[in-house]
Amino acid sequence: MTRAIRLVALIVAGTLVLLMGVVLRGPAPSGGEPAATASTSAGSPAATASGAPSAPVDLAAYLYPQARPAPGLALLDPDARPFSLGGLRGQLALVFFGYTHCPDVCPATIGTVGEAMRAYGGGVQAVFVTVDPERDTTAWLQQYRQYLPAGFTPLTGTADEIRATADAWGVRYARVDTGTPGEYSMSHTADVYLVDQDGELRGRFPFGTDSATMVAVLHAVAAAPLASPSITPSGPPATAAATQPSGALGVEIVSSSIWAGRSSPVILAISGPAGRLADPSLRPTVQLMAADGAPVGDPVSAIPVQPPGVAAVSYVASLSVPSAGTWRLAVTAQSGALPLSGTSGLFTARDPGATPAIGGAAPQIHTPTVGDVGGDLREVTTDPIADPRLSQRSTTDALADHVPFVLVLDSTRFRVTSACGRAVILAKYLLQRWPDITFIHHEPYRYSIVTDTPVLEGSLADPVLTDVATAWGLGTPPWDAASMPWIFIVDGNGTVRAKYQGVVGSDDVDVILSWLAQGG
Amino acid sequence: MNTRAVIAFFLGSLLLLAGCSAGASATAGVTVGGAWARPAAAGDQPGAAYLTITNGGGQADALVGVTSPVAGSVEMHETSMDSSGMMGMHPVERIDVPAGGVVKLEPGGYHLMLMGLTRELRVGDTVELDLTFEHAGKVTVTADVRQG
Repeated sequence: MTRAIRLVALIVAGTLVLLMGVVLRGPAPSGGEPAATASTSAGSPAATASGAPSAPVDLAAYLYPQARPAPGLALLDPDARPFSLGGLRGQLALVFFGYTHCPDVCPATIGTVGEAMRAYGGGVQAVFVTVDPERDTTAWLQQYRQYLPAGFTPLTGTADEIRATADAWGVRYARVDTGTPGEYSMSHTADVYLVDQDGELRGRFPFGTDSATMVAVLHAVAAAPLASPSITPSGPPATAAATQPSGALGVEIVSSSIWAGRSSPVILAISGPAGRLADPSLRPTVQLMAADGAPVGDPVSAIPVQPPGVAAVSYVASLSVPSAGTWRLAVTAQSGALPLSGTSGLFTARDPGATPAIGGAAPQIHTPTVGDVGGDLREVTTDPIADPRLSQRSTTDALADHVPFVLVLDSTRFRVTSACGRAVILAKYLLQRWPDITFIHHEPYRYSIVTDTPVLEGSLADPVLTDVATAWGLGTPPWDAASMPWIFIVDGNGTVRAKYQGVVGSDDVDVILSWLAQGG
Repeated sequence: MNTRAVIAFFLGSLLLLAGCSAGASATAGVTVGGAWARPAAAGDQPGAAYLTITNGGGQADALVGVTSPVAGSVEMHETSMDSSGMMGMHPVERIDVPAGGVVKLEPGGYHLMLMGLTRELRVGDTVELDLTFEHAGKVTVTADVRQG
């Protein structure tokens, strides 16, 4: 019996490999903005790593719109020696947080990061910071070190030091007791942060990013060090307790997609002399500027937004950006008696192409619901752990009822980019946070169910878009069929209020939904 | 070979898989393959194992229990992201495998937690996993220990 299973497994595995080979040899689709993409053409180190994407890597999805000095890592290595990120100057560093008793997520991250380091070939170090200092002592890390690939340094410290370090990096974690006395696991954000040769924090890879994508981004960062340090000195990450010099504001742009055109909502994390501004009555003034600092258009007032249960206050500015390209922002605010001002780093406004304009009407096209297909969820989603609530109502239902909705165009099974499947996961969690908002998942590619297996029409290199995806402006340059995933946020008036392409932070959508809920 | 032909070949293999498992009546259409486990130290550091369950039969089934000679207990867990973006795990009572469906236990999703390891798991070792399905009964597989 076991032998029979192995034989069959081999046949299937062989067939899968063959299938993948054909897909990878297919023509690489062009996706994303030409200015922000790096092609991982065959023969490059990126393409030789396993899981090489067949699409170009959208750098803007991983790199921050503006670099900033990486927060410190003043912790201990397994030999109880003080560690300093400054000691890695001249090398790239991949920094992530986890814990050694983590059986699933952390080993997966360690494996992917290790693979990326091998494929890149020298000049990259990895730093693994524990969020479980109780069990991850230096003594234990000495033993654990043997399970880590070469070039990895695990770090630990006191509970307070770990919390302060995680806060400075924008990492969240929490202890989860299992019910068995003494046993617990840790929940934690699982992004991998990229620090460049000059100690600047340049970007972040969400959990699940493949090694080939990491390698492509590492090459891009190594090839393009910052000409000058970021314009805002020590602009802190979102939750940093860092402070600004008296009279200066640190301005960080949180939004993962900013669009050329009218009223693109831009989320800002603003820091003053006493740390991140958390005044829910403050209305900072935001002025768009060209890359050279020349003001463009009229200043706008940013709205304070605090999502339910979230401590941090974000400020949302509706900006009209005349064209795609690089811009920056000047922000002024009256905090107490002090007038404060600051400037953001450069950010990129993206070309909306044929996607519906922000402030424009949502397309009147029906997304098929599970009811439309006789109750068979597989006809409307390829997510093996599908949440039926994402397929209950159509966009036309929400439009007719004048209720806000979030449309997610993404495929769990047909992954044309490494970001695919993540928007669906995001929607599954946001719908629990936002019960009054309709979340709708739509598979953007045509497929049919053949002997219980979803089979794609066309190929992964050249998938066929559904009428719905086409109606939302996809399949037209610069956003071709391989530009998934997309998220569109539509208000109760049927007006598109925000849209996202590629990797999206959960905080990002959360802030926009809060902003709309409070009448923004 | 064009993509359609490859897909046909792939589907053919799947049918072959269904055919073989149908012959093994003890498993009533359920087959388990691709089992592997991560290296882990013995003691209080849990191990993780992954596999793929294929239900070639016409009846829905579910994985309801797992044991292993190398672990004090084996729990079924699911990794998921919460509303604040934190990744965490929670135990599940069962993993449903719909009729004609395939469920993959893979990093970042469902996995088996090997608690109380009685020995270290080193790359190249093998680990026996004894699975209990609601309808198909017991299925034993051998997992290879590897990095990923």
